Amino acid sequence: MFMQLLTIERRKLTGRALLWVELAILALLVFALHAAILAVLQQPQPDLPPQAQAELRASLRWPQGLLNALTFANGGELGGLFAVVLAAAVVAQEYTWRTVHLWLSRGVPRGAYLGAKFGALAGALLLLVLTALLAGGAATGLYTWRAQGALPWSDLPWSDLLRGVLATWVTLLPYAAGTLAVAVISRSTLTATGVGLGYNLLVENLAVQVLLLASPDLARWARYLPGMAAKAALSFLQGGLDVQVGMNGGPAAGLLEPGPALLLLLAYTAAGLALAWWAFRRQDIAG
Amino acid sequence: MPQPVIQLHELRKHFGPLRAVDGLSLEVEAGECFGFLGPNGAGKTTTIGMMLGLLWPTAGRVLLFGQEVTPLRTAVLRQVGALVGAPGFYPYLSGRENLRLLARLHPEVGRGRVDEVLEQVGLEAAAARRKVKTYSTGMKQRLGLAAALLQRPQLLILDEPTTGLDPIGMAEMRQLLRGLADQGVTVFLSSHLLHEVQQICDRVAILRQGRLVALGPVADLLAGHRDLEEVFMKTVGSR
Repeated sequence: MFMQLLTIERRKLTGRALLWVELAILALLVFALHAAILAVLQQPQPDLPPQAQAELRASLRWPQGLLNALTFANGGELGGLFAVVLAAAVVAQEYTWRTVHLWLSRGVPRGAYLGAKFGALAGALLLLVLTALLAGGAATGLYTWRAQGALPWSDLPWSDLLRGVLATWVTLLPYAAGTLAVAVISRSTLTATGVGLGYNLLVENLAVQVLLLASPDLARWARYLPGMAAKAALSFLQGGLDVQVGMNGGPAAGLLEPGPALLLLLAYTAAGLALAWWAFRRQDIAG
Repeated sequence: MPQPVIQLHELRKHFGPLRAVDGLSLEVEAGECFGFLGPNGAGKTTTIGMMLGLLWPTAGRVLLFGQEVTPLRTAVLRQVGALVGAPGFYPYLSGRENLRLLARLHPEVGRGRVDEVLEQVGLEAAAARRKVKTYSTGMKQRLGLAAALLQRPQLLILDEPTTGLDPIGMAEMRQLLRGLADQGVTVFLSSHLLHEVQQICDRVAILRQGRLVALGPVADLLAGHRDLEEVFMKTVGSR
């Protein structure tokens, strides 16, 4: 039953324009941001020391450039925003369209329904990460090819790349699970999107600043927020571009180690799913 | 004696102080076409919601084919076809694609079954290829009935299935439901169209403010009355 539902959810998700629009926008943004940085670097930069310029150029070439592409898709940045929008639409619109009635009244177990929905969503998020990798990889690959005349395929750190893809994917899961919970509780796409984006853009950001102002000791707690944990989980991708779309600053205190950060992100995901299940199992699906 | 297909025991559903369903008990036998009547707000849709595992009963039990149904125990509903109010579908998919999606839940349903039910409910091939967002209310209702019939259920639970249908559509629906009941499918039909119910159903229950106020074979209830509308008005009276 679960595998059938997963196939159904995948079909529902891939049939929606929203998913492909999100992927196209992400690819365009990642490509355009890389292109903009590269264009700026072509101009003389008197304020930037030559060594810093050289380091920045190196970070835009393969293999580092390829790893950097992943930072755009992480949960604390562009990827988190896309995950929220997708999760809110995919879950809450089932209430608006009354399609949740359709499945549950046919004997689909509530747990399997919710699990399959999150499973399909997680699959779509992996697609999001791969899209960022491909778009960023294409932009930095072009730059590398122009600079070096060839692509250094043999220098590519394949295991780091695989770890990077998986870690970036994990950073997106808490945002999807949290939004899924809000969507189930509110049954509203607008509320779920608003709460998800509000949290991503304002609360995490503001919380860090407020904690910093209150006390550096308190600020240490900020590293346990999903956005900071995402940053920590990807810290092994050294020399990242660090394009800040969501959280624009870290606490003075250091980040968690990548391993504990990933575990924390998985715990947040589990908590989001548990909350969604708690609400969904006792919910009256009427109207 | 065969087990009733539907058994409701002292079923209650309260929304705060409102007693939407208040101690409802009834049984429906296999192959019956059962009319479930009542004015707006009588608790018909709420009862159907509990029968389909969409609502938690405040108290009481629902048994379908002898198995209890709650929102967390719904396995038996795989044998049930249902149409609840305005049926929901994915607007970005065509009518046929929506049905194919549902058919994936039932491996026993062959690919040809989708076209078979579309024809059965009178949804033409061209219409079935169109996206659901372009459908009229009547077309959605036909698609909803097609979805309910998809897995050849032995029990059909229909809440206002003729909503949005034109007179021809209503007559077709009436014929279809009577035909299914004649084939042994149990039909539980909630409707405001008393004339339709009188023509199709074997037995009728009338609900008022969540309570059962009349129950019996249509012929018995009609005794001494002009039609079912008169029975209904007498039983339910002024609200």
